[in-house]
Amino acid sequence: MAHILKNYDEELSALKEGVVEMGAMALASVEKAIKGLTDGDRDLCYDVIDEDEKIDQREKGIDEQGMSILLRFNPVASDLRNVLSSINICRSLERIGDHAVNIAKRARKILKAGGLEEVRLIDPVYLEARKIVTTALKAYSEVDEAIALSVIEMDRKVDDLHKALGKSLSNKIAGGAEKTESLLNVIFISRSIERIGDLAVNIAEDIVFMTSAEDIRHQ
Amino acid sequence: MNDSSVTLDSADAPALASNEPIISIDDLSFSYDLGKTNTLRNISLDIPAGKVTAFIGPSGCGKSTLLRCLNRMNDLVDTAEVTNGKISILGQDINAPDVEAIELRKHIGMVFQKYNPFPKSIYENVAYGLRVQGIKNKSVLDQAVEESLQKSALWSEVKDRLNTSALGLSGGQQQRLCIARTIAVKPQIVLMDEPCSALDPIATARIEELIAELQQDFTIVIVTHNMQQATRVSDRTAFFYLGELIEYDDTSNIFGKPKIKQTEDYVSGRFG
Amino acid sequence: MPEPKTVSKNPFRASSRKQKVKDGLGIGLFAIFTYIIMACAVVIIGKITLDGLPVILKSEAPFINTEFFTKKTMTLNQFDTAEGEMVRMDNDDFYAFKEKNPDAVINNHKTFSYAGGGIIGPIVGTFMLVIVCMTVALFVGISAAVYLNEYARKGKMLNAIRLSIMNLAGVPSIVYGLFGAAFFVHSPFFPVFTNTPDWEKALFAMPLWPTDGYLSFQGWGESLLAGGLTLAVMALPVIIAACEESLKAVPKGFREASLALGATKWQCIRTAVLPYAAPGILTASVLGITRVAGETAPIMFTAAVAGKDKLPWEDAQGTGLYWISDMMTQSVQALPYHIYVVTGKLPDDPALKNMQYGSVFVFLLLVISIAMVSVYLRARFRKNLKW
Repeated sequence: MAHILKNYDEELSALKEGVVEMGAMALASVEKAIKGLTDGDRDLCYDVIDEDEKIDQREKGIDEQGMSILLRFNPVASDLRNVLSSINICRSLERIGDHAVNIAKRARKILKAGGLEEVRLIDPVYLEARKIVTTALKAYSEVDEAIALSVIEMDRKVDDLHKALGKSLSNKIAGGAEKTESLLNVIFISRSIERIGDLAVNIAEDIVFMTSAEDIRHQ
Repeated sequence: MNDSSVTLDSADAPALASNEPIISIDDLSFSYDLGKTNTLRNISLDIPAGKVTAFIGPSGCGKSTLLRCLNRMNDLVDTAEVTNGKISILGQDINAPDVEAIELRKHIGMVFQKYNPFPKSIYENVAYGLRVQGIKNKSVLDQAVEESLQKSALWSEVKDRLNTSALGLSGGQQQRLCIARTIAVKPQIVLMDEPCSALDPIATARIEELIAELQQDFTIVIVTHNMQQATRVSDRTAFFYLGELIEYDDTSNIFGKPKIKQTEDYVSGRFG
Repeated sequence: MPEPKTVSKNPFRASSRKQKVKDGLGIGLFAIFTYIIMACAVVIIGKITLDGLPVILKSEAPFINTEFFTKKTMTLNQFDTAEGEMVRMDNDDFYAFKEKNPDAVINNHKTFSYAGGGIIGPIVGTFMLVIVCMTVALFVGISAAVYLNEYARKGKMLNAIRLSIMNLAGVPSIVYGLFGAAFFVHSPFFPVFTNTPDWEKALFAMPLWPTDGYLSFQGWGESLLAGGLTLAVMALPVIIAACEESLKAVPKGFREASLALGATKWQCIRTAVLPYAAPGILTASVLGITRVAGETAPIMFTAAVAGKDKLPWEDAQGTGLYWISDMMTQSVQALPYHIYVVTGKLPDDPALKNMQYGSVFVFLLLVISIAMVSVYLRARFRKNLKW
């Protein structure tokens, strides 16, 4: 139902749009970094590092929007949770952007060191992580608690994939494989992806708080 | 008013449960026109002692009417009557035939929307309630006046001009004087009908601070249009709509996570 | 660049001449009527002052004709002396003159009743009537207004009562006069304390042992009481309406605050309503009573007589209660009736002019000063009681 103050509605939806857009930006950033890595395209990696600035600026913009809503409309109940969650979510998205930069930096190093066959192993972990970030963003934009809860389940798979990848690569290193450094970088990239999954879970938790006022963090 | 005063945090306030409610409203219906239409319909709620309970809701929702039922101020309207249910205060049905409204009102004070001190001296205003009860002893009156003015945080501002007209005070001071006048007769319950709606923000803040102080000695029921105020001063909040009680819960829940959509819509400013 | 087509660049240019003329005519018309009314007032007051002021002033100290205020009304004598000079003399002066000069030539002797002497009788009579009227009207009026406004249940009955009170205000004064005559003067239901009951009129008389007097139900006759009460009945509608207005003007908050502090209804009215309504009640009532006091018709049949040699207290018989009772049942002179008598009842003659205009002027002064006092009082009360 609409608010009596039209402005209030407009600002709330602007805030939401901003967060969704920022989510798309962060996701695109990760995608680009991974593509740079797998396609051996170092320019893409540089792009990611440059574009992080935009995500940071967007975060600041959303903070301002949120603060202005708090100030002007004194939101209560679901509106208050909506604004608080949106600000939290954009915090998580900014960190996803940071992880994209991490990935890009490590990808650059791997490429600089002449590339590595094992980078292909990242793909399944990444695809799973991308799925849950997308799902989390969908849950946010559709304000759907059920979808948000499914994200938390999905994250287990990313964790498992990351663990398996880490194990196999460490075994290779232990077995005396060449390009140890690049292999380690791949492990770090996988770890970043796993972190991105965790951030998606944070987002999902914020969405659950937003919709049901239940705080399900740290349970 | 001692040092061990508890800090006010509505979120931390324990749910009443254990102690008996001081006001118990049971399935109350009330009509202003001899039962043709019910202004209040089947209201049931228990108001805990020693807490601040806020009544909120849009104009005409019946919150003020309910407040006025509690000290039977509605008796002033010839055609007003309770058509169903009952109100028990301190365990006594207040509409029972052997209850005298005048005696009831000595236990239940009321502060009004528009501050209404009498055009008398500050002293006489505070002493009024005691005087109508027949107290003439000067030292008793002096003491009561000072104590009430102290409690209502007005003493230091007016102690040198107790005999000047109350109408010379600022709006906020006048309202605090009205509170002093009300608590001078030592009621158990203080009803406040939008006590800040005619005041500026600073005077409002003073009254809110006073409410927090008074909470230690009195049970307070406050009707307010200002929802921010309800969140600040009250432990429990009841939301009324079209003469019905929609939701009654801890204030933090009403404004944080109301259970009923109508409440949510109202507190967050959406169309009904 | 082409010039803009507007004739004038001033957007605040005066409206058209025609409009102005119309406006001026309208305003002028209203102004003229207002001035006509003002002129009427000036002419009336001016005429009365011009003709009346000389009567109460005199050329030597103390410059005020005190006799006009202190002497009783008496017959005026007019005659021509031997020298052909026309002289006017009050009755007492005339007899003193005749005693002193038994041989004086008196030609064309004419007498004019009530046109000589002073007006102490009418002044005292009017004052006493007003006091009786005010006492009764205020007491009954305030009580009735308090009951109607504070206690009576709202509904059709109350509206009917209000309507009938309003209607009473429209009843012509002569009707009140007749009612007063029938009710207070002639009906024997009203008792007097007297030593000599009028056995013919009295319904019965109760001996009041140990005095040798009676409480005799014989009616009041034409008297201060009958006249004062008739005036009071006439003033009541106005007073009740004024009181109700004043009571309504007391903020609801005072009542609520008082009741919420545990006051009873009567305590509330006594301490939180009446004190704040009092200024309005008093001033409005006084104004209402002044209006009524100027009426001739209600007292014509109930209290007023054209001539009376003694003031009420000079004529009263008995002691204590009997004295008071006798004084209050005296008929009196009253200014409006006196004016009516010397102007309307007697054949007109230049000899009457002094008494006519002197009385009217004094009466006007009296009424204006009462009105002024009430306005002043209201202003003072208002200053002390603001909310």
